[in-house]
Amino acid sequence: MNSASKLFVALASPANQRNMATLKDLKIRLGTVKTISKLTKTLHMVASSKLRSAEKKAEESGPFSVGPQKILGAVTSSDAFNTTTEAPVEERSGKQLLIAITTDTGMCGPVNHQIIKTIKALLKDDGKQEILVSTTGLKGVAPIVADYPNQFLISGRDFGKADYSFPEVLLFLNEIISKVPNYDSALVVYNKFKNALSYNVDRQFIPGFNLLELNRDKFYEYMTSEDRAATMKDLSEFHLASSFWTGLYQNRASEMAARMVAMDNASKNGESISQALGLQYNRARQAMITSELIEIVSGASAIESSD
Amino acid sequence: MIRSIVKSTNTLLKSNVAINSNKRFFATETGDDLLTFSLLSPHQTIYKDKKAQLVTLPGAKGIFGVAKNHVPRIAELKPGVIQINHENGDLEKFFISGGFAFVNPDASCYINTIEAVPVDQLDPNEVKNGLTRFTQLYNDAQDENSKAIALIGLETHQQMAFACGVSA
Amino acid sequence: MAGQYWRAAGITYLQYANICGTHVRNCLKEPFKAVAKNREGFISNTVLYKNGKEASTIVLNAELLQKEVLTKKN
Repeated sequence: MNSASKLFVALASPANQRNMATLKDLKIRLGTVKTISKLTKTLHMVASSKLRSAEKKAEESGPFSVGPQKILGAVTSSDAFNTTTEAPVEERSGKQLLIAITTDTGMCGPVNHQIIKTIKALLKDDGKQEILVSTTGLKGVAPIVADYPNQFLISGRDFGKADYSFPEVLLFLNEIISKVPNYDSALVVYNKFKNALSYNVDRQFIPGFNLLELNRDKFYEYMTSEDRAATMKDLSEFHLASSFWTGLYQNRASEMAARMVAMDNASKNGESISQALGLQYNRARQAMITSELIEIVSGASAIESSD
Repeated sequence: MIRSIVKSTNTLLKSNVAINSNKRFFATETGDDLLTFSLLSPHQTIYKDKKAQLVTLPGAKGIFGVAKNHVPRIAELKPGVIQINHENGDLEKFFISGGFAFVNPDASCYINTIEAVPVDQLDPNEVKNGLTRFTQLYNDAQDENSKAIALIGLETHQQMAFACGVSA
Repeated sequence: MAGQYWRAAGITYLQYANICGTHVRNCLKEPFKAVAKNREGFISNTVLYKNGKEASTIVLNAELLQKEVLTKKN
């Protein structure tokens, strides 16, 4: 056999074939990871612009709950029915509406997890089963229904998908309060947006009409020229709607921030995997070249010695 | 404390002088006689901390005015016209579908509405048709519930008609 | 406003406010009407639960809004 054919035999040896296969695999993997990296980078850009717009909306909608909150915020959860001997104006239901703002889809960090944790803690302390839970999104359903099936009222799907709309909010909240007339109070639970890296759970207490009437001395300086009780009853519902409205936008901004972080992490992981694979590929390529050289050299010396 | 809350409707628009003379009695730190108010709808902040001479609002028992004052008030608003007498004397009118007005002890004034549109954005033809339709529905209604729904439509359209000059 | 007629008929303030808002949006001139109608462009499902199981679903959309200005929801 001449030296050239010995060279080809050496190159086509099983060991080298194995190395070629590994190299090919690595190349494919590298390509996939690079594509995923591009994808997550694009998603990150999209998430970043969605965050900017959500932040803006959260800021713009903020003032809408200030008016009612400034006045009715004087009645807190500690001003419960057991602090007074006066009888309620309307028959009490003895129920508190817990309205949790959660999302339909995941991949948004701790945003839903924080809310669910808060709800579960409240339900755990609720021995008398006075709390009735509703959520705006799918993610809040399963964990609560599993442990408290009789305390789950309503959940929205695709609620506020494109953007929140006040007529939709009114329809949704009305479904809840129609089921529980004369609710004692409501609690809106949402993630309050501080900045792109900080969003914590906030709970907005909304007193029901009975509670407002029993605490009307807190509003004595506010006069009305109409039927005060009727106004306060209407206001108690409006207060729920306005606080829920601003809570929705706060939570959405928090959600967008969390998605951006998730995309960011996925991007960074993609980057580091890409780098590691790149190194692996280069080493494998160099190893293959080295083993080829060794085979050529040893083959050549074998040819030399046999000549 | 002088109440600057006026309940009459037409007389209010003619009696700016009467209201202004009341304002002489309000001593202010900054020396201006202007009200600071915010007009908000859920989807739009129309005015935030805006100064004005006077804002008149459609309350349950008729139109009332809010000028710079410290009389705290909670008012439920009916469908009707909000009129703003701006700092520079301009008059601006919005038709609102309802809401609430709050005047706090610190003199801040928040007006929360659901829908607030400049009066000239109302379509007189649509209003007229709606008025006819809901008058008919109200007259035809047999039970309390149907009458109530029809009456909400009737009252809202009546107010819109009044606002954009459609005769009932 | 003692015993407002709509309260007596079982209509909540949230419903009343929504109906009035819909009437106003319906009576706008173009192009303002189109802009306002965007606020009615939502479609979502509200699922009612009973004993931990899905019992019924209500679709929230513009059609429902327009329906509620004409007939009382039961």
